Amino acid sequence: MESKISKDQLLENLPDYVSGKLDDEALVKAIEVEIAGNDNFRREHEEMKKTFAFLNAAEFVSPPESYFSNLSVRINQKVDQTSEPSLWERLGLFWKILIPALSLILMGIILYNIYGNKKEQTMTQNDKTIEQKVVVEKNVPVEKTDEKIVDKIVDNKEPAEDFAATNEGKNIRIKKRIQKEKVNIADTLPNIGTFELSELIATNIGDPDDEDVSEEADVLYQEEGEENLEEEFMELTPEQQEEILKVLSDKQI
Amino acid sequence: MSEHLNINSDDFDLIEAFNKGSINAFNLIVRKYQKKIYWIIRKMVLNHDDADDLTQEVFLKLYRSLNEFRGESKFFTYVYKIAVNYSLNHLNKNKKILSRSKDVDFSDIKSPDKNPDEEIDSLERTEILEKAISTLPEQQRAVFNMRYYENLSYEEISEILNKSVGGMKANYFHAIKKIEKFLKSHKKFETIEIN
Repeated sequence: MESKISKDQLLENLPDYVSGKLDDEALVKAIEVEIAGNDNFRREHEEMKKTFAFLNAAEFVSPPESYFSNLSVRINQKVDQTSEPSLWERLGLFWKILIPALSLILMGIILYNIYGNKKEQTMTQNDKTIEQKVVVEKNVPVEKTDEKIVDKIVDNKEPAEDFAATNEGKNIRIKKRIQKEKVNIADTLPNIGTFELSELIATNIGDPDDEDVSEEADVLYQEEGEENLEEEFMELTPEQQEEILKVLSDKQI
Repeated sequence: MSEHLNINSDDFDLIEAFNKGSINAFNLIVRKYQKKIYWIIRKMVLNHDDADDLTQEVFLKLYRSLNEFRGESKFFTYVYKIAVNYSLNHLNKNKKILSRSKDVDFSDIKSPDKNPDEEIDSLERTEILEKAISTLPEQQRAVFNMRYYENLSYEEISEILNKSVGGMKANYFHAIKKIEKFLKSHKKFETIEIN
């Protein structure tokens, strides 16, 4: 069974058919049938024959034979000239090793700087955080600390000196303020009792079961393991703190 | 071994001798292929001076790269590939349509078997031929030269140009049609006798 050969295939093989280079017998036969039966195809065939006739007749102008005798000599001369490696070629191997090596070293330096800096930044940030904490701790408003101490003093339960002793960093400053406040309290809060103050604080803290808040318990007395008074006061909301202070100052009237 | 080598020696023997340091082997390779390489390039660039330069460069390239030739293809295919690539690069760089040699006047060279009228006719035909080929795009030109002048198979052409066989056939057909179209515009076409 012959496979159908398309007209495009026949046309594509026409140059080889005309020039006598077509080996495929099936194609040759199909082309001959098409030439015989198709006017357009026959015209194509005739024009292509003319083209090949011209190509067969036309020649390129050849150089003289001496040209080819000299060509090999000139090629050898060129080979001799270029066979000596240039400076760049001699350095070629050197550059082939040096440039990749330099690139790697440069990359290493860049990466080290990037990651090294990040580590330093992290450490610096950590240091800063620690410093800030220390500063914050150091910079606890003297007034609030003093207010707790005032409460203690009012309550007359714990000598201010003991409290100060448990916070070494604040000793010197606190002692000075205590001296000052003792004078103020003595003048302004003569009548406030421990019970009233404790009750007020207990109400504000809001946990009646808290052993720190009881009639007898010394809220202001700092025992080992208990939350200290200063912290308790700090835990209060600003409104609560303000209320306590207001109470204290009202008592002055 | 090099003493027994001559221009008709097998290509692989010549290459082996060259790789062992025989300059004579390289000279034999040059003498064996210089005309072929020259004409491959000449029919591509259509200019003697350019063909001369490129032929030398091709052999220079061959000198440097012969030790890399592994024998996976025919040696001539390898050489042909270099020549065609250099020609295509040259054409792409310069995009010359036609450039006739000025310093080498081959018109003084007379064919002994032609009378003056025939000589003029021949030169005219040559000029028309070169102009016709110059209308072809670079790849079609390469395919046309390889198929028509070098009689290479489409498989060989596709290997050299690294393209498909079907594409090469189409290129050849279109090249012939373009030459035909150019010739039709010339009055010479009507007077062409078909043998």
